[in-house]
Order: sequence, then structure tokens, then C-alpha cells
Amino acid sequence: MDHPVIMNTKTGWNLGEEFVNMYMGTGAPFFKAGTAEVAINNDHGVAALNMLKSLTEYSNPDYLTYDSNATAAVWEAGQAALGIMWGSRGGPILDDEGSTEEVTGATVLTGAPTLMGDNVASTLWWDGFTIAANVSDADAEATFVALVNGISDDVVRANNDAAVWLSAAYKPSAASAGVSATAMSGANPYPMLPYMGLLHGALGAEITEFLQGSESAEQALADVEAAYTAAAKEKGFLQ
Amino acid sequence: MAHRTFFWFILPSLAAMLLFIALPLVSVAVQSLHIEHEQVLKVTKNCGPFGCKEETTVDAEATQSLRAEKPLGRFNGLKTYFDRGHLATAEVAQAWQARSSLGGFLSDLYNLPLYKAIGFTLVYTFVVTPLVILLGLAIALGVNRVTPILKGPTIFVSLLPMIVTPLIGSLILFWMIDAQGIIGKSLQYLFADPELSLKASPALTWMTLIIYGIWHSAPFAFVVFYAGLQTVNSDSLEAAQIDGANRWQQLRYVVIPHLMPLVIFISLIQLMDNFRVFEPIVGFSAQANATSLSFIIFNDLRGDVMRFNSAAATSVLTILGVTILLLPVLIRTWRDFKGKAI
Repeated sequence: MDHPVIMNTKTGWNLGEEFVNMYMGTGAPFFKAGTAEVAINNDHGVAALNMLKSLTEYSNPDYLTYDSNATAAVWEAGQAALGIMWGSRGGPILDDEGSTEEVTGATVLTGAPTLMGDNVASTLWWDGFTIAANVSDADAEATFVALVNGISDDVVRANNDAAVWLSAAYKPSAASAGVSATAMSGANPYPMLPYMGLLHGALGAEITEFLQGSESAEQALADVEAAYTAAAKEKGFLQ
Repeated sequence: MAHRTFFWFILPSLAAMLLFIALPLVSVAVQSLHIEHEQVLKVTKNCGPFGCKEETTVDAEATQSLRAEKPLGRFNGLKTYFDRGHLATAEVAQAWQARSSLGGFLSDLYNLPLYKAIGFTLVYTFVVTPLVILLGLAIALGVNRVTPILKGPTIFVSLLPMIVTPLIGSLILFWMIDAQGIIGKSLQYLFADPELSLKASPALTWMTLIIYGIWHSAPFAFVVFYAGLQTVNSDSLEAAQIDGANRWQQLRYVVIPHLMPLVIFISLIQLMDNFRVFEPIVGFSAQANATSLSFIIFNDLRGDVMRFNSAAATSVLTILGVTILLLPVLIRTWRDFKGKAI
């Protein structure tokens, strides 16, 4: 097999997410605590970039056009041996459509790898529920009781395969084994900071040249920092 | 037609243009002069399924009254136009001071997003426009000489590239030029290079996009030239034939001068359209190797945080760019018009 590794490295949001996941594996924060100043232009950033680049050396040369649809298609065609893919693709790549018995039979989902120490190089995306602050106390209490009953162990057991539940009563299936293992091994959720989207956009646009070999890792990170700072000033997060 | 009648005649179009073109343009220009109000950040304790953490969030109440008073945001003047995401005057000056050679300066310039986009946009515009005109003329001359029975089907086939929606057409071609697609595999076989990939190298991606652009726009030029060819003065052509001119000389001295106004018309339209190139970049997933002004506007508006002010500034710069491009053609048209009026 010529190009065994596939990842969602399409320039833009996908590539930004691959870097974010890899950087999570270093355990370092993205921003200086309590501020919107970016803090990735350091050794941790360089380590994340270098690991990303070494993985792309095992990928198809067109990797900068591979979004999650393309990687799922490549996997189902049996042209990859190791895939770092989104958890939502677990079901589609194991189902009856689009692939052969030979490929689906040999596909096993596991948890995301670690980069430095125990830090899992992945982010968790989870859904919760909220109760508005301006409803009456009686409404709030009733809502809370209803929702907690809704995620009780019996309900989770009865609807086990409807989603990947963050509940002790959940039993992972083959399609969600990967996401479960990642969650159990201590992966952190995606940093839902108000200015994270700006950093994500800057990453997706500026690290392409490093991966193509036309600039150094330090230069790429400096570009990301400059692009993010300009965007954060425009949106009022930095002065 | 009397001026009054003309005015009433165009009033509906004028009203629509004012409402849907002029006013939005003014709105975009105004937005490009503002930036968001300062966000007040506060650190709160956030508890979830993964434990409790200190998280930074935006304190919306602190700026509520300010936002209600000034919904457009802070007035920033032209600073957005000069920041790193646009003309980047500070970065360009720095690169110029620290330059080791002109090549070094240009590659530093190319590192800035707007200049990278302008680079591809200008190359695309100035390569596709003349080639579209030449190819359109060639097709029109060819179709003009086809036997009448085959003319209909030939015209139909020649028009097809323009009829296909740009996004769908570019997506299908994207699949075909893949290393495992029919065009990709054929090229690998033709050049005896099993590693050849059109999508991996910037130069080949630019070529693919330009060839797609020519293929997609040539029918437009063909249709216009074909109509023009029907109106060529047959007396002049006959006179030229009698004087002993061969095909090429007839073409050069009779047909092309007759078609000159159409060439100007097509250049105008093509310069405007090609400067705003966007769909091929999306369809070919080419943003790793080629970005354009329209693409970076789209990119600004597509993230989790929408950058309206930045997109507005790039839009105004695009309009300025189109105006600069069209200036020579417009001046020439104005001179011709003035000349004929006298």
C-alpha cells in the first residue's frame, strides 16, 4: 500500500482541527489564562506541527484536498491502513453501503493516540442541555427533573445505540468503540472559548505552506499568531 | 426617445438596482470602516461531565448598553484596510526594510493572505481572458464553415461547457483529474510518471483552474463572435477575395476589424467575471494552492466567528480592483463614443 495513512487535512476548518487535536496532545494551553492572547508559538506548537508533517509523509500527496467525506471514501475503498477520522464516521464506514465485506470485516475502531505523556491528541465534542436563567424557579425545577429522568440509566440502556452516551450505563458498540475509548482515556473537550474560532480559522489557512515544505514551523506559527491577532483585534477580543 | 419617457421606462430597473446593488454596496463600505466593540472577558468556573474548570467567557451584559447605542461597532476608519489580513502596510514596509533581494521581498509579500490571493486572481484574469477570446473566435470561425446539417448539433455541443453549473462542473472534473480518475490516470500514463498528481502541486493546480476557466467561458465568446460573423459585410469579403487575399488575410483585414467592438465587449465582461473567480477554487478544493479575493471573502464569513468587517474591506478592495482593471477599456470605449458623436 503506497499511502497508508489518512487524516482530514483539507486546508481550512479540517486542517485547523487536525492541528488543534495534535496540540491537545501536548497538554499545553492555546491562550494565556484569562486573556485572548494566543500562546501556541512555542516548542509545543512546533512539536505538533512536526508530528502532523511526519504523518502526512505517509499520506496520499493530495492530502490537502481530503475532507471527512473524502477520507471516509478512501477508507471504504480499502486504500488506507491507518485512519485518524472523526467519530461520526464510525457508523458509515462499518455499515453495508459503499464498501466490501473484506474492508468492513478488517476495520477496527480504537481510541485516539497520545502525543506527549498521557495527553490524548484529540478533542471531544459533546452535547449537553441548558436551562434558561430567566424562567421561574418552578419551571426550572420541573425541567431539571424531566431532563435528569431523560438521561437515567434505564433510558440510556433502552436507547443504547442511538448515540454515544456519557453515562456509566452505556455499552459501546463496534461503531462507537473509538469515541468511547478516546473519552475513557481522558481526552479533553474542544476548548469552547469565544475566540477559539478565530484561532481555528487562522490555523487552517496558515499551516498549509509548512506542510508543503515552503516555510519553517516557526514561520508558520508566527503567521498563525499574526493572523489570529489581527482577527481578534477586529472582533474586539484584543485591544 | 424623449428623456421623460426614457426615465419612466427604466424606473423599475433603476429602483431594483438602487435597492439591491447600490444600497448594499454603501452598507458594505460603511461596515468596512467599523470593527466590533471591545469584548469584556470574565473567568468563570464551569462544571461539566469532565470535571470543573476555570473558563473564560464573554460578559455580554457589560457591553449591552454600548452595543444598543452603537450597533455598527467602533469606528475604525481605514485601519481595517491596512491590517495584516488586507493591504498589510506595516508588514510590507518591514519586509521591504529587511529584504535581502527582490525575490526574497516578493516571497515575503506572497506570505500575506491578500497578496497571495491577488497573485492568483491576476494571473487567472490575464491568462484566461485573452485565451477565451482566441478560443471563442476559433470555435466561431470553425462552426461558421461547418455544413448546415451539422451546424445545430455543433453549436449545441459548443455551448455545453457554459451551461453546466460552475460548481458541479468543477466538482466532476475534480473527480476526473484525481490520480485514480480517468483524466488523472491518462496523464500519468502519458507522462510515464506514476506519482503525477494535478492536485498536489501549486503550478499544476493553477494550470487546472485556468484550463477549466477557459473551457467554461469560451462558449460565451463563441456565441457573441458567431453572431458577429453573420453580420460581416459580404461585399468587403468579396472585394478582398478579388484582390487576391487568402483566408488568413481576409480574416485579418476584414473580419477582425469588424469584430473589434465585440472583442472589447467580451474583454469587459471577462475581466469583471474572472477577477471574481471563486467556484472553481471551491469545486476543485484548491484552496491549499490557490486562493482568490472572492475566496478569502467567503472564508472570512464561514468560520464559527463571522468577520463581517474584514469581509467588507476585502469586498471594497475587490470593487476597486475591478474598476482599475476596466479603466483602460472604459476610456477607449468613451473615446470611441465621443469620436462617433462628433
